[in-house]
Amino acid sequence: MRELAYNQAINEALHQAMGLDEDVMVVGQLVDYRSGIFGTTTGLLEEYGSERVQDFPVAESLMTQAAIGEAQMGMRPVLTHQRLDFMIYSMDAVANWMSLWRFKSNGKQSLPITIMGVVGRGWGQGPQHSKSFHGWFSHLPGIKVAMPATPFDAKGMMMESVFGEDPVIFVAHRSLFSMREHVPEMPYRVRFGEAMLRRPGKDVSIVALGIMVPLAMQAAELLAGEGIEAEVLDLRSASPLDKEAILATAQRTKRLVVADPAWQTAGVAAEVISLVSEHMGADLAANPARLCLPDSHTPMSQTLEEQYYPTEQDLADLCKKML
Amino acid sequence: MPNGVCTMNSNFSQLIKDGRYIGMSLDGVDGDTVWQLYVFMQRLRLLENAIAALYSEQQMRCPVHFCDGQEAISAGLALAIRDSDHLFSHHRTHGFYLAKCREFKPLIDEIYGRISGASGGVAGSQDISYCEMNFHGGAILAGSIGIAAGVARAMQIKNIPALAFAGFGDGAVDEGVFWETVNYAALQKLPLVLVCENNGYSAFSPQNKRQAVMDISAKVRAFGMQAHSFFGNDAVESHRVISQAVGAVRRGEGPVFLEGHTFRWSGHVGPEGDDQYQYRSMQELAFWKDNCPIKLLEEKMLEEGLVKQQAIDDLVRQIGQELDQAFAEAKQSPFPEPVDWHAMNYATQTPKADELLAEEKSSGFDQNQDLAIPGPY
Repeated sequence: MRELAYNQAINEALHQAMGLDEDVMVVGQLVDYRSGIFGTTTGLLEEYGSERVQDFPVAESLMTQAAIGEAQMGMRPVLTHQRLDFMIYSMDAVANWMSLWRFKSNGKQSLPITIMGVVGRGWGQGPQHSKSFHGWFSHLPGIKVAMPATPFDAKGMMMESVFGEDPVIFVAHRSLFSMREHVPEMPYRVRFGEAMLRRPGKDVSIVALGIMVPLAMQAAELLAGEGIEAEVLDLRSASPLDKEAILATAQRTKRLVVADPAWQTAGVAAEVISLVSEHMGADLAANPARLCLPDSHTPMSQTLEEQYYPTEQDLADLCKKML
Repeated sequence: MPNGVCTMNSNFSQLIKDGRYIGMSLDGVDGDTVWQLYVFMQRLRLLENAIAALYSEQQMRCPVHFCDGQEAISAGLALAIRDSDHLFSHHRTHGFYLAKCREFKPLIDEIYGRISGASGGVAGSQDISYCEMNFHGGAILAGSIGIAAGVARAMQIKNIPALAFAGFGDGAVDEGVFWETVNYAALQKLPLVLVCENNGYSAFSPQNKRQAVMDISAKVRAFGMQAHSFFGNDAVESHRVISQAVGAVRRGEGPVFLEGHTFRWSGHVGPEGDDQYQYRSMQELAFWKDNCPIKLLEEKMLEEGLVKQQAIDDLVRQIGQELDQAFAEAKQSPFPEPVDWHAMNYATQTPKADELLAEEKSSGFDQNQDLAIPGPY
């Protein structure tokens, strides 16, 4: 079966989306160079031309406001940020305009806009090349937040983002870009709010997001070696959350660990634990726990990076403490 | 010119004599056009007077930013803009709304929070959208200028023969996204018209406290965009400048920035006035009231025998009746029913995805792979 790497899966999704619908456009700094945003936009210019594959001035705020106008005119813009941190320039567009456009138009207009932000990790990315912000974005009504962990999901969620009707922030962790998996050639969708059970287990539930998913599966393997059966639920989208699947896994194991690749305070992990606590807090066999990043900005130095990012062993240890 | 008229471009000083504007000329403009400008300004003024008069009843429960004294700029715009064009307005929406949408009722009903309002009562005066008329307001100052640029870009890509307009004040010019838009519009030669009602103040703060160079048009020209400024209380000049400039944009000559120098009589927000904060001089206000755009045009029309006082009196009476009826109807119109919050914020259907995308199942992911190490770039 054909395998693609994560960045190739995004690239194939964009090629196919542009081929299927001439209203799809890809806009961002350097999208039209061969490097192509880590390979995700490579080859689009040659096939679809510079009007639909557009380099943009270093003006993320306008780029995003303009996408709102383009979407009103029937286009389906895909915006890219080589570092998600740059996207923060566009938060007025996202929070004050895009997220509330449907609401403000009394449900008459939707904005099919996809914003892909790439999150860095390692090799000294430091505090301005490594932030994820999916927790911020998930707080906003009117926006969906994709956190695909695998190549299959990266393609399917990109397709769903482009051809759905709502604005999507697509958080792609660069460390995943080398991961390979079978990816079907046809255009297909992975729906938002449909979590995937990656591994069944009866002793403890690990609910994971984005780059924490492979880590969670590795932790589950470590635990299996000690006779502990961990269940791994991949949320796939931070917003909307698949509440049913979260509650179902928590019901099955009565032990909940949430692995979220973001700062701990006021994040998605807290939201998941709140949800479970509200519905079955008294039925849990142990206090729920979170594995997040420290409430600190990211260090550059390699030794501090190693301290900063949790490992599969950290996650396995956290699970064991609950048993 | 009295002290305190710090906000007006000195280019216009030769048009002021003994505190009165003397630059108005009807040359080259037919009587019907002049009358249309006058009717537009009276409708806008009387609409806002009625809102102000009834606001204390507390049935219009939203922030309302009045544009009394600034009517001549939207009057000029009203004659140049077409139904197929798109117009984005800042928070001071009423003039821009009437220029694009013409009818009172969807605006008044919206301000009253009724289901029959242009936005079904969810948005109010400062955030009103009338999608069917391609009109969108929004209060966070300059964001919609960038949205208008996106509409213009899409028109360019799709070969749609229409223009995008953005209306705003000198406060929006402080914002970075305004300059991002000017740069990008000039770069791409977008079919975009930027209309600045320069009333000299951002809420209380005068332009010369916020900007080192007062001539916004000159700054815009430095970015490679055409720009024209005019005495914004002269409706005929407003019409002349806007129509010519818009014609050039329609011919594909690239975007334009238009700046009318004017003044708001009311406070920044609401009908109560805010002059107790003493952020502007009473002399300055008196100068601009004395050069009321409606009065200037009315005097000129009467002086040149274009119209009789009786026709003006009839017009004012007829607009008053229309407004009485619109306000009475608005108060009788039903409020919105309880809504489904999710459907208000998210699309309930995905027709395009349903048409184009298959359902597939993942065959399983092997997690035992190395993470990508980024390297220096």
